[in-house]
Amino acid sequence: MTKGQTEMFEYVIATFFIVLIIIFVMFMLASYQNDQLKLEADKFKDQRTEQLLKRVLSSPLLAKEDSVLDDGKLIAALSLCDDMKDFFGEKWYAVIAVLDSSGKTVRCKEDEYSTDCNTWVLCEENLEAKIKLEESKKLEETAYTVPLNVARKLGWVMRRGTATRAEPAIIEVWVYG
Amino acid sequence: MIITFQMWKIVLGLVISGFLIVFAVNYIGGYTAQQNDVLRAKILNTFELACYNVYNTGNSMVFDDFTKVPSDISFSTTEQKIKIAGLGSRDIKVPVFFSVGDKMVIWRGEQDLGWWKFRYVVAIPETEIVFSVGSSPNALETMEGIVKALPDTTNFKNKVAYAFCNGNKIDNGCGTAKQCEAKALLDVLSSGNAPRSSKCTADIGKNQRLVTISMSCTNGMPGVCIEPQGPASGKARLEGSETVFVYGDYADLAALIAGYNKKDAYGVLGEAMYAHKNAEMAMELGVAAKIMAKRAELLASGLTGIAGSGKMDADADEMACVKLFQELSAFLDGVASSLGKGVDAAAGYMERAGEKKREIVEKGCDYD
Repeated sequence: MTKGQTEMFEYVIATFFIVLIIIFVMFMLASYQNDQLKLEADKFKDQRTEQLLKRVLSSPLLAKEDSVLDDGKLIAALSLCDDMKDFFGEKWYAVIAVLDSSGKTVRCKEDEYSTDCNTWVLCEENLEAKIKLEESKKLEETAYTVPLNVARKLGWVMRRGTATRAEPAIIEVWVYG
Repeated sequence: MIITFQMWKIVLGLVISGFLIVFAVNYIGGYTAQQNDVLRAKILNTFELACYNVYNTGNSMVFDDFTKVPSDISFSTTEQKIKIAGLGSRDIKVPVFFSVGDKMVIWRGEQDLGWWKFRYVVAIPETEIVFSVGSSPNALETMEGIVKALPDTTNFKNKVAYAFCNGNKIDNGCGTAKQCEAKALLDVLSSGNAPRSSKCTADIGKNQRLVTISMSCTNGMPGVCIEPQGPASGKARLEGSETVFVYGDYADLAALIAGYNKKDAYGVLGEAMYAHKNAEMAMELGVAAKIMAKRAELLASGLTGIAGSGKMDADADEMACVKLFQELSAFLDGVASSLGKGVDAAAGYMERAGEKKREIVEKGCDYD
């Protein structure tokens, strides 16, 4: 190999490594950016779930006051999932359970006012859709659970009338997609 | 040999450097644009979350992230979505009346219908609302309604202030040296000493919005022109739009003033905000009417059931609530079924439902 050829070869090798480094940096930057975007999307999804929870807890549609849900409204909402989707958005469901000493789950029924039941599932149709997504392994979900109170409008019954009774409960809001 | 090799080196060096430079410039250009898009998307996310926060909590806030990157935000009325050029859209699930600017105020307003409170968010940049008031008998009341429907920025860094246009002059709305904000102006208006103003010929600045209250508004008038025809009702016109806007509450006017005459890819923003308000309100009223009607019906049947079981005396005072709940339920059913023909078609039912709800609260049958 002549001296010229050796120098040429060195030159080509050096260029090759420089290009390699540039490509590596490019990949690093692209991957960093992708991670950032994914992180941002996850954070945003979490924040949306949190906002949905806040909205459910504060909206006069279901609440008597902030963090106190009205049992009459909850029962009314059981059969109106499509309307609830219009109001709160798609792909979510919520489970509200009164914390009582019995530990038994008694689901509240549509169209029947009762203070004997202790669990309301809002948008159960969405829960079914979620299970299907779960089976197809295409599910990403976020959930929040917070304590609240449920106001039982006809909670105390006396001879001359009724009074509202507040009961401690928890709400789980799930957002999936 | 050496000369040939050196020539080769130079040529190859030039080709490779040229290639690298072009490549690097392209890549950096693309990367910068992408980073810019990421930043704009982040700002839009932050804006969306800020609107949700204000809507849910009622706590106002200032928002100045739009100063970081100029964002071309528009609103599509057909999709009811906020769009950012080249970055897709956001389906904000709460009513937001906005126009984008540097120093923005985000505030929650409320329209109380008696049986339902329609809440909305106003997000506008620092602004001075300039009233030009003609001889309309409802002018004072209309101004009061508008001021209450727009952000109260007392104790805020970014201000929504008020002024009156008098010919070619713009005077402070409160007649003081300080900026005239909502609370101060409402005091002035309630004292009945509102400054007189005449046809406005003054130049309206970039951070000012002209609101004319007149007996008759014509097409092509600057800013927003309002023609009150009664308490909280009338017609309005908007600069840049041919439409005559019929308003039935002050939230309609808040939407028009918030969007104002700003133009975006879909037309005049004020017009889009007005359509958005009415679409959101119709949807919300429909859902709320169904839930409240059903609740009233459930409570009526619940009370009847309790009395029937003997746990409560059949002549207990509360039994009077049964009839009231049934009547409220019927009015709300009327609201839900007539909303398909528009909010105006349901106005009669809504009024009666509001009255019935007030009666129910007064008689102690339910909470407000």
